[in-house]
Amino acid sequence: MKALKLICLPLFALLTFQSCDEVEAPYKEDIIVVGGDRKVLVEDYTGHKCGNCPRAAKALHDLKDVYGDRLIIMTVHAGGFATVFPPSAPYYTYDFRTPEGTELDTDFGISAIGNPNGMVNRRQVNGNYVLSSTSWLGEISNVLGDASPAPVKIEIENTFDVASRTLQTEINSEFVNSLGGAHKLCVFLVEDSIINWQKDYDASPEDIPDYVHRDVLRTSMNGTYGDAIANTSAGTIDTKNYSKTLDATWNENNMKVISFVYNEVTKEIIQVEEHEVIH
Amino acid sequence: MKSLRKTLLTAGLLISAIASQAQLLNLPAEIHGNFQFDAQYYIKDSLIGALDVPEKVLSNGFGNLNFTKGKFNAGIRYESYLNPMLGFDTRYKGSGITYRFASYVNDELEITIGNFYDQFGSGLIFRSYEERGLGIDNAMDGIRIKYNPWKGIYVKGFIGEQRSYFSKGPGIVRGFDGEVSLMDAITSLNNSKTRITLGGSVVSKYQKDDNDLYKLPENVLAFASRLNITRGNYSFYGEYAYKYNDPSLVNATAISPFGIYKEGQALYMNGAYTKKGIGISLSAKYIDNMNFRSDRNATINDLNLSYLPALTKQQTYRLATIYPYATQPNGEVGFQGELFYNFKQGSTLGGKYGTYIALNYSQANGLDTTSLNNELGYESEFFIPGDSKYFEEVNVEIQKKVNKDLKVIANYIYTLYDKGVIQGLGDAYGTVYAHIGILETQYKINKSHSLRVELQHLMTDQDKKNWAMALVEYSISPNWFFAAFDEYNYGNDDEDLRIHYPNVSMGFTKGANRITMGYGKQREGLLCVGGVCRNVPASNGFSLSVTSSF
Repeated sequence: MKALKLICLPLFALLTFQSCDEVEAPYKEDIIVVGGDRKVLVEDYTGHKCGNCPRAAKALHDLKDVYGDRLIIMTVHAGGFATVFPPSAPYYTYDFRTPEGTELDTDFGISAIGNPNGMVNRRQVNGNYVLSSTSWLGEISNVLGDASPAPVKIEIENTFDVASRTLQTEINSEFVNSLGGAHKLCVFLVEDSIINWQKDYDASPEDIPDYVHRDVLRTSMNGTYGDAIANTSAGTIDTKNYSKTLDATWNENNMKVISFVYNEVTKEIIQVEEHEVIH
Repeated sequence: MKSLRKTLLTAGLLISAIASQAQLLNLPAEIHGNFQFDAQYYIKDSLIGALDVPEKVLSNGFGNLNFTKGKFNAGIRYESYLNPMLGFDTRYKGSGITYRFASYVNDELEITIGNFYDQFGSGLIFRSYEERGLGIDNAMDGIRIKYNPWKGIYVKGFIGEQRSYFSKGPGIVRGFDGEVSLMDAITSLNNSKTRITLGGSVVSKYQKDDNDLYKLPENVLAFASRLNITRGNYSFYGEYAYKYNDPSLVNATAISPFGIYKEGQALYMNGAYTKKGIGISLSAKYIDNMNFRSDRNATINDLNLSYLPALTKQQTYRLATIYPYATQPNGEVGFQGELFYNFKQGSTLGGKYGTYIALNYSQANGLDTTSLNNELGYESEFFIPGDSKYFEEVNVEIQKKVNKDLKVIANYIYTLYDKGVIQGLGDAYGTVYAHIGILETQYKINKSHSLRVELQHLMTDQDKKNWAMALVEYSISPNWFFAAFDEYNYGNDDEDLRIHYPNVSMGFTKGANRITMGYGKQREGLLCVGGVCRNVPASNGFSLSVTSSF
């Protein structure tokens, strides 16, 4: 073993023009978060049968400690790992999938590549929207590292009627700077802390009955790709109103409305906001 | 007089120099190329799990064009995936020029600009290659210089980026490799019967650290040294590789979500003895945390730098490909032993036409590791196999020519296959133990007509249970072939899933052109070449393939 290394070393020494960084403990760094009002949306595409997914989900939610409410997460169950077993099976019978999530997954080609994968503000890196879980952080800091004011401020107002389980949502998008090109507004509903089965390769046994599913996409209030914003010039406030009856099995106390403005051509999210259904 | 001679001599030299230049210029320019087009029409078949393909037809196609004139070479390749066929990465969608290069060679120096494929040693720290059937192409794009200063010695270096579908990966790769063939380089040893070759290589990749949470190494270096000795019928090859800290998505853990900082190591050794009628080969390898890629965020078959072939027999019979081994780059210890022997014609076991027998045994285990519960990940015992056995296979093959028209090949295979580990599915899938029997007969009807029949059976109590398969192939040389086969999962516990997978195909070959057409059902599974695999989803439909070269 050592002899083998010794044979290699002189050769290695000859090639000092080649570089190598050896990192020593502590490996962790303190993140310096730049100020500003920009927020970022990470869409984590996952499935309850995806054993590598909980690791990515945990690492992502841990970043909330660093970025606070400037990091907004939407977990989308879609693709092969999200399919359900027949009700006769003891687990993975609950269907987390949504038509909107499946449409996004297909259009952006996410689970086709594998899970976990996702998008950060639907920005393209090397021509790809789909980013693997370890590259989310880099893109998050690229977005949040921009201290200039967000060109649009989004305000969400929710009113929930308990008797009819109807949610009324008003979204006001105020354009601070003019935005060129066509833009749209999307409004999604997520539910946090759903307890159900999840496969996790880091756990033993791997099939966890009471896994806490975070920020799961439940539905959209205006379709998969939202509604057009007519006027995006500086000083304009665009107001849109939506309503949705919540499924009886959803816990409104854990639900949030996520709304974002995006460029219709590049798909890039310009700004995102989230607000609890009940506050 | 003297000066005249000198002038004449000079003129003569000049003329011959011009002549040789002219000769070079007059060398014929050659253009070669090849073309391939594959398409499939997909039919939805929910029973076998074949997905609905909205496009109905998917196709992969490419064409290579290479130009050579004297010492100058150039080439391009056009690829088109409209849209990529099932099982190929959807990021291939599109078409365009994916490979172009120019190179110039003279006796000592070879310079390549643009795309190139290359390999250092056995590929433990660097292999850039394409394997079209697996959808792998990690071609380099950059500059490569190869220099032969003396006979028996070469050094080469390159710098470049790696292809990733229709774009390039984010890393920059620098590589350097040198090799000395001692008996060629040292004059006094030129006639030695023993041939010794020594080689060494270094590969370093650069990728920006855009992670604010962890200190990630931006430059990751790996080196390897190798030794090759041959003498008469004996040969030995050994290569050792070491990789410095390389946290990445593929070695990430719950504690270190951006990858562990442990070093990587690999050792590969092979010894062989071959002589007419007999061959023995023994191989061993140790791989520990050697997933080396030019992008730390890459997964599956993307942007690999290291090539870690499986030490198992490359199976070709259909039922023997149901449980193929895939190399575990994060850690494994494997062994393989091979033996073949030809019983001579006229001997008791050889009979009139001789008998060929081949044995192959291989095994792959996990590592013996101790978890550290920190960013270094774990500690491992060098070259010591762990308790978990990923794969084991026993192959026995007998080939017997019965008479001048009939040849019979019989195979028995025993496979132990840890499906959860090999297919990355987790513990729950357990280990499959399978026995496979294969009987093949090749019968020459007359000078140009021949018939080949295969009968295969796979027996297992796990997974999808028993399979049977039969194939009939009729060839009319040199132009036509017709084949039909059926795979039948008759042992499946679920009666609805006792499915037949019938296939019919025919092909026509003339000169350098070949057209094949087929219809059939394809079971889902893994397609592996040398331990590198891709998922093949189930499909049902018509296929067409055209290949041509010039």
